[in-house]
Amino acid sequence: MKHDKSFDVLVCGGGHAGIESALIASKLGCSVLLVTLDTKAIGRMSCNPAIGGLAKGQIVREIDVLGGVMGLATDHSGIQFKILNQSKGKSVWSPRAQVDKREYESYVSSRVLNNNKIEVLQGEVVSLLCSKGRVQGVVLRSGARAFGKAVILTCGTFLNGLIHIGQKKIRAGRMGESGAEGITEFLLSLGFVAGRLKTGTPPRLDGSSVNWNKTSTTHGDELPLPFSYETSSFDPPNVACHTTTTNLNCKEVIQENLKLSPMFSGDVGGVGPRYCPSIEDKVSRFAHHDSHTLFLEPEWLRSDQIYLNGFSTSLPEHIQIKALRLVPGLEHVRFFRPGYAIEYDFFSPAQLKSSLETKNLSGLFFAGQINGTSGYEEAAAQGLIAGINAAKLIQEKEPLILKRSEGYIGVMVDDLITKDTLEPYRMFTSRAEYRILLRFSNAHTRLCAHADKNNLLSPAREKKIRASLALIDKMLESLNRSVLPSKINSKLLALGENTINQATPLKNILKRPSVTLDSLALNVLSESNKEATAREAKIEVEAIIKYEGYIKRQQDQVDKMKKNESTPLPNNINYFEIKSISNEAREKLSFVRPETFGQAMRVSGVTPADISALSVLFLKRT
Amino acid sequence: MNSGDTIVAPATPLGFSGLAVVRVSGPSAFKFAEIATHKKILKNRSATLVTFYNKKGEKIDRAVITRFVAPASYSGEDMVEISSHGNPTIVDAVVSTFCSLGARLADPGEFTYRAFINGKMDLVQAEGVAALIKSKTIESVKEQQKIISGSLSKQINKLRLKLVDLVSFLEYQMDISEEDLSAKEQKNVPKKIRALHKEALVLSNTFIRGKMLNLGVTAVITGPPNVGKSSLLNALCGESRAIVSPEPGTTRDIVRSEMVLGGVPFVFLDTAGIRVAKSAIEQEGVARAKKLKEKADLIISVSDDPQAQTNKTGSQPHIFVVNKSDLHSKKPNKAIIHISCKNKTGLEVLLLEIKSALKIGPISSDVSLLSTPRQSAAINACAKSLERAQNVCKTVGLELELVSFELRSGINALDVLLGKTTPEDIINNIFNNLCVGK
Repeated sequence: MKHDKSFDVLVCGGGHAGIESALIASKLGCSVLLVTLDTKAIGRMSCNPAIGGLAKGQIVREIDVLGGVMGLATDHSGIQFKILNQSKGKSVWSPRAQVDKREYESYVSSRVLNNNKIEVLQGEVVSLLCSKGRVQGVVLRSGARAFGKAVILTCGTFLNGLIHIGQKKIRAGRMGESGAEGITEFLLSLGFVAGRLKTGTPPRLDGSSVNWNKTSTTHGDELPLPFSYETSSFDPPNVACHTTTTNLNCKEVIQENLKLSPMFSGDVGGVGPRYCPSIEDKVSRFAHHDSHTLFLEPEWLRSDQIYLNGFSTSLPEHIQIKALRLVPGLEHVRFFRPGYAIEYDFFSPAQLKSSLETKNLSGLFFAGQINGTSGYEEAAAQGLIAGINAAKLIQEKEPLILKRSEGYIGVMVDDLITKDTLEPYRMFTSRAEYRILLRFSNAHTRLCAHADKNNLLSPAREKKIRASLALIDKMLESLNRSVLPSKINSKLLALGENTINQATPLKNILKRPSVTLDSLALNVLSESNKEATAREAKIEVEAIIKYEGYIKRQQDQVDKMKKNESTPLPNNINYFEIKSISNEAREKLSFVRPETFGQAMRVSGVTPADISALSVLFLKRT
Repeated sequence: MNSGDTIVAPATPLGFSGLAVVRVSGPSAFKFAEIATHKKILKNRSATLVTFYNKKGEKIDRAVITRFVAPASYSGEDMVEISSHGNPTIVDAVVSTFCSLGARLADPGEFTYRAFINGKMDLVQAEGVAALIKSKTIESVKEQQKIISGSLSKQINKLRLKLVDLVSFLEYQMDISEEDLSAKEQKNVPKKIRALHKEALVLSNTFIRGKMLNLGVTAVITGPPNVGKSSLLNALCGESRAIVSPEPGTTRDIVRSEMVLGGVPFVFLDTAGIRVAKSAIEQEGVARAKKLKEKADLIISVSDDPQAQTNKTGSQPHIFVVNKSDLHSKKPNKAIIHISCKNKTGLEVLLLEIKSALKIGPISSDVSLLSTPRQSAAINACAKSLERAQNVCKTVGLELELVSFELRSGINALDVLLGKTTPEDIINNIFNNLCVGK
């Protein structure tokens, strides 16, 4: 870029957050510059070769309904699809796909590079241009400048990234890629508060060195469901994954060498995720377990590079090899790359508004790991929201803010700005208090009004979403019909259910625990199971009918909270002047500055007693 | 930690007494005390003899002052307690002095509220403080002291922790584990819920006893006119409370008498004899008697017919008594207690029967009793949730998020009871107690 150029939106980072930001902003009519350290690494999957999973699968669905690319990219590159949690409750069913990393990366990067409203630039952003509390652009290491009305920072683990393998330390954003320095320091000078987190990744094995006969095999679902509503003619491969288990010998090697792990020697300052523990963590915290499952996942189709899920570590490479060679099937294992831990800077997300715009600097948005989250899906969802809201800001329109009752994305953003970040934030279904309403199969029901209003969807996706909604309505309608005993009793007997003795609405029969739409086989539904849309509509219809009472009770809870969620708290409250709340509440509320009463209730350290004191005061004032 | 301003209030009732105590709590408590005593009070938690002056410097009283440094004080804030002579004028002057220095007159219960805000006690303990002050019997005082020391909270917390553990297990299954529940685990979940339900019901049942100790028992004496209901009331309380006469319909208004029985404060109510009343006044008396019966914790039906029928009405315990046993020669009906108010016979048997009908016996020292309707309602709500969780397993199937939904509403009921809500606890518990696989 020879001259200083001007854009609507500047996106710094080409990971899962940055991609969604750039694509959606361009869809909303903005000119976009995407600055990345390496234009050949756009959409790279740094860690596991999978998209979706528990709670994350629901997020990918929501991204899809809000116009994001992640679902479509996954359908395009998936090599094994599976719905997890099928035995555990309908609202926690979660789709997951193993993907071909190369295919995924090439699909999304081509979407970015072929978009004529997005310009891609290789470079490193070192500081921001700002004036009068508003961001104006970015400055690159080369000294070049780019101007933009909004700037979205999606720096991943690159901010002052530091890799640890045993005692070895490498300054990098990812193995083999240099990190980004300067932005943290610049933001600190503006008064932002930063912290340090860490995460880890397991070794990549050479598949030809694995004795596959000693491992167990798992496959995906026979009849897979795609992530994106837009996907048609879906016929992905169903590649096997393999598992093996660690043993006592392996455990002893790790225990003997714990002191060589920087996490245990105190070399790593950042806090790591408890839900994704390193193998060192597992053997020390759960010393009573002698074995842990390891998953051997291919990184791409017919790949010899194997991702060893479950063995995240920062032990020295020779110890990693020594321990793994004691595991069945890995006796002669060789590495392409050892596991490592990485420390990086993040900014406390309490400094953000619900739109993901920073409170300090108008026009500046943060998305992804810079907000202390982990996971491709969490990053992509934030990138999408930041991209939408950057466009809205420029167009002087209301930002898109999802409620906790509308989606996991709403839960995540609200959690980020109200809760203390003590470890990298990952989505769990248990974080959603209205979980029963947030099914993967009703993402479109929940969010399509937002998509419509904000014009987020391509015509093709919009059409498919409408068709799916119509099919669900049609099925529900047909289940209101009554059925005669003569037509159904033989089927009920075959299922071991009690027979009926008078005409009964079909939906009442469907409420029985062992009855499903398929076991009724009533031909009320013309769609065949070969159609993914029909299979999925059935899942949703069964949930709606079988969970009717609970869905209603959750909706009542939502309604009860509605007043709190819609009562705004003025931005200028001096919490230190409020006498009847605790010191901790004063400090936390002053830092977070909740936008609504509902948010104030969720701020870490604020007790119900504080809230009742606040409500007395606040109701007096209005 | 403190809650902003400094508050002051007399801690003893206003009246003439040997001593009176004024309490001050808040960040300026020490400063104000030093101004008012012209003295630096250095010693923590020890009594200092001082002269107390008002703002103009006029001497008010010689008093003893005790200083408590936060957080080791009742309210969790800096506090002083001034023991002056027990004269309302002096107490008033002490309080006014603090107010003139910048303190504020405390709202009722505000010291305890601050103790709660500052984490010195939970809501159940705070309730114990309120109940202790009003306790009428030594048994009730002991019970409330147990509650203030946290023994009831501990029991509630124990139940809560078990619920949190079970929810954590379910959440682990839904959020971390990718494997199906084993057959054993599938059986264990409903089994654990059943056990927890039983535990909640046991706790819930303690309210019968706790309520009696805390709120007392209302016993209504009822029956036809002129059988000696008023004589029974007088005999029970050992004094002539009600007017007695051979004329039927003497008692029209309700006569009450209080006594303590087995540590439980009793109110006995003597009512108009139930018959077709002769006058408007007696009619009203009969109507009131009938109404009272509905609200009573215990009904004592009196008759003078040794062959009287024992027709139980209402859900409360009901004791049947035949008076004037001195006049009867027929063989007594054994379901009825035969007494003579005149000769004072059979009264001991009646008292024993009252105790046994209300299950008043010695209180085990290791169990705390629920003692307020709020506590009882919360434990019942928790039990109800556990019952519904069992129903989910039976009628919808072992759908974990629905079971978790019910258990969480049970936890919520207990959290509201203790005055805390901590959804983070569940997530933390998952990671602290369970090994995560992938």
